Amino acid sequence: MSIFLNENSKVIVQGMTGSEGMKHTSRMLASGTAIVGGVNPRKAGTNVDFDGTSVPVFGSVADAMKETGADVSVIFVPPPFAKAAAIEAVDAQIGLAVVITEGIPVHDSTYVWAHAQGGATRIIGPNCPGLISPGRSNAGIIPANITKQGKIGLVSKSGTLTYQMMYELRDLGFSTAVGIGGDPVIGTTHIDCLEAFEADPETEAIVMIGEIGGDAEERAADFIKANVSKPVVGYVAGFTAPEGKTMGHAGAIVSGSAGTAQAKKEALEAAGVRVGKTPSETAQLMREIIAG
Amino acid sequence: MSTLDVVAYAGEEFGGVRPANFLDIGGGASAEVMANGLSIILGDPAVKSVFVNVFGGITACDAVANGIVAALQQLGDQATKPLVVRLDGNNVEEGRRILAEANHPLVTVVDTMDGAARRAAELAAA
Repeated sequence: MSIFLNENSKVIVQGMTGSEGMKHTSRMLASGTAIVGGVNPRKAGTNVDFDGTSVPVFGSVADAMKETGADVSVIFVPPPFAKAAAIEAVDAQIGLAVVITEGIPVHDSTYVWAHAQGGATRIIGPNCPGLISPGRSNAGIIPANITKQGKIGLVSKSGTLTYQMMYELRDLGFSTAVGIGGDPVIGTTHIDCLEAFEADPETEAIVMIGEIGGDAEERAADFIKANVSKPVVGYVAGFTAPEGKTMGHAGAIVSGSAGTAQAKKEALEAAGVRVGKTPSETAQLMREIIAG
Repeated sequence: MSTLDVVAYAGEEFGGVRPANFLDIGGGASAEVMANGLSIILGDPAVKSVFVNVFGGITACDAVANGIVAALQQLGDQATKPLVVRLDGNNVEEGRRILAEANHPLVTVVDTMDGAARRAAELAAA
């Protein structure tokens, strides 16, 4: 097993015919993902060739789902059109919509989030690298060649730290790695992933990577304390971040005493999570857990 | 941001050296982006050494290495401070080979993030 994405996932790409969409669809196909179609109303009925694999373009998400049985959409649509694309995916009731696009106005994300409540669609992102279940399927832009299938689950706000942690623990492998994105408003949270990893029989231990800003890590700590029996190791970026400055991600900001790395670390440790000071130390903590 | 933390920890060993600033090169670092970035960083008088930390996820390490080499060429005499470069990930061997071949006197390549941060802090304290 894995979470949210597996070898049976049928993936479509909204914005496939744009430059980022083309590049990453090609990479996803190369890593074995079942890409069953693209969506672009102006190019519906055409086919795009990816190194010998012909992928049909549909006029809408609903058409693509009807023709192919797609259950995952990866969205590369530029920020001005991303809100409409995500709403289209939600209205078509696709199971999973992965929004890679960076720079979507928070107001648009908030609208999409509210629109998706109670619906059939799980949203991951926006401003995220997507997710990968190594050896099975890859929905987004995470490099597929870093590591292999294994028993560690990973959830991270940061794309680069996702890659870094997969690399540090590449010999052990991962069930699924999810980059949830660093925007202030996101679809799938740390807690959603922790819950899914707890329920996934293949996942034996979980790495959770957070960063300054907001209170997602504190809430995740409460959730872990009450609901997670599997070992969790954590890392929080931004111990040395100055107050009041946005650090890389729009959501990464320390406001007064709220959102500091220290507060997050303490909350996680109080929930029994071992927290590393650096990515390499965090990987080492995971090694100790796996070694028993 | 994690890079800043690792440098600050390493700096504790060298009399409390701390990061002076932080510049995210973003995805797809061209030579021009690297050159502009480096010239901004090198223009800060508080900077004693530069740590270039790259995990090539989407961006390939060879492109970053070419960017660094081209940037140093463009900057010429303006580049006076040591650079410690850590490359990992996508096309890492080719990236390291490009830097080794260029053999620029200001550039030190260190394989791990922790090791490279330590070296950068050490050079800043020297």
